[in-house]
Amino acid sequence: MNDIKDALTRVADTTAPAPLSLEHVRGRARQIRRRRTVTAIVGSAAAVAAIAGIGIAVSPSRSGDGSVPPATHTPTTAADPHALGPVFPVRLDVPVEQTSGGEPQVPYWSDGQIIDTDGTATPFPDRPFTFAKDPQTGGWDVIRAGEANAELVRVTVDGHVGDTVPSFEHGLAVGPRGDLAIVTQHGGHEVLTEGDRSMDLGALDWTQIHGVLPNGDVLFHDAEGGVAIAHLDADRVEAVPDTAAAVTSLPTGLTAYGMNDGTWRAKDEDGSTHWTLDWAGVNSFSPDGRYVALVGDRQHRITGSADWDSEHATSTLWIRTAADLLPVAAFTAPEGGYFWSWTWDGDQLLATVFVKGQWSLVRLSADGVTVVRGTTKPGRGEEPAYVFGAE
Amino acid sequence: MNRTGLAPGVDRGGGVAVGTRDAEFAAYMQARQAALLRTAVLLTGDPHAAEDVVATALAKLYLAWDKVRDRESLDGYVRRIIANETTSLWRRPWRRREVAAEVLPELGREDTYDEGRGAAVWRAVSSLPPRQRAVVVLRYYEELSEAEIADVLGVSPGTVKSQASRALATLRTSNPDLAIGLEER
Repeated sequence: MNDIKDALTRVADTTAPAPLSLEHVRGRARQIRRRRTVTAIVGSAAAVAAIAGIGIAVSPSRSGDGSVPPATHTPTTAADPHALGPVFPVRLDVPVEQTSGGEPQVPYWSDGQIIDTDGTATPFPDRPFTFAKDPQTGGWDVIRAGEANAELVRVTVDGHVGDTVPSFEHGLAVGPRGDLAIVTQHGGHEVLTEGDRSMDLGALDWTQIHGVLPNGDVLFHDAEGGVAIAHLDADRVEAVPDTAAAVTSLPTGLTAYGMNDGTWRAKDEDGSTHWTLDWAGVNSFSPDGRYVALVGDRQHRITGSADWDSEHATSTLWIRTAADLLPVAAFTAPEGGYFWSWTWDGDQLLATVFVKGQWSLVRLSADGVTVVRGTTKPGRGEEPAYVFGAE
Repeated sequence: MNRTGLAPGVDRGGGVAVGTRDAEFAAYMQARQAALLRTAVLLTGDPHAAEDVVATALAKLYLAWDKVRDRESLDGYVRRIIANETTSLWRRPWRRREVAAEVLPELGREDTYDEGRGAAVWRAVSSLPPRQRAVVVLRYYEELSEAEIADVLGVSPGTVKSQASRALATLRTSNPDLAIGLEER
């Protein structure tokens, strides 16, 4: 006799929904492919952007670099009241002579290689989810994600792949001294390490690192589904009430919290609120803390998309001042396309754009859009030709 | 399976004719989705959420079909996605919001086929934390081993054992004479 088996069987047999059709599943698959817009509250993309942004902090700013001519100078004013400031539609059909430009000053993956800022190439055939340079070894710590699980892989500069450790897609960030903050799984417990410090976070179903504070404390996703601060020196966790996401700025100490009601609230280290935001999501702060990237809003969603439960892409990127949210520039993806990922390169954004089966890498600056890589790469919508990392 | 270890129709480069791929996928769906839906109902506790989770899991499998080399372990692969998707449901902020309604929803009818015993057990299982509930469903409904459950949930067998122990203790609190029959497995 097995009461549990009997009870579960009874429930399963009497309440299971009708079978799905192949067309239903294929439709969902198409939806997944194109659902590349970001909700205001799901800040998981923020961790990746923050990782890269923090990493770029040690790179020279390319602000003012005039070697890359603008591809378009046709700002428009969007119709909705929130779209104040110039809006630049990204155009990829620009003359070839205008598409050459400086190499990204952030590490990136492409064509099976991790390209460092000095041009050094490390072979790594699998597409990473994100990666960062390990300051201890000089190699790369790579998060590789499958459909079901993510794992941390350590790779030497010459491409030798070491052991893998279960981790999470957003289980990697760069701390204030360049040390890596990493969450790994060990025997059902999640362990957070940051430099030479570590802390047992207990058993978490799922987690991510939202960001690192100037004092090295780490913001992570806790078991209750909110943001918590890991005070590694004190071996103590402090929950931040009513929050679901967070984005940090190392130079300024400003932290934008995604609240459970869908709004964002930026607070300084003293806890004072600098601004609130209810029409877009906060994605990342620029390396020097002067600007903030915002993503999408419901007036700028991808045409035809009905799914806002996406971790990654958006059809609209905004650059605003971090201190007071004054508009700097906004960028819209080409019709039918989307920005998949982006990172700060100085005070410009580098972004991957997917349109009609082709990937392009574009540089988004306050005075227009400049195409960094004129040669597009064919690929599938979920398999970007470029992945940004951190230094 | 041919000597390359790939299913017929799959070339070394991972390419495959869409028609062949869809036919293979449809065959898998037809054979397995009813069981997957039943498991998902138990994991989510809601038929609509179960349908959503299974649709997403199958869609992800469909997208990854060319990359799944070991067709013998498809169920485990899909179960992992379903388990992760179920966890995702719980971490979505809007799931935690409650919406006030003018009219109370219709209350579920008590299933009294066994004098309410099964309904009481199900209520207790439904109230377990997501991880413990998943362990109970996979252990006592799917009858997976601890190692298999650990693989599905991405945790250690020791965690499965401890989660199962806590879950059973909770279930016995509300159902003191609970018979489970699998304790020695």
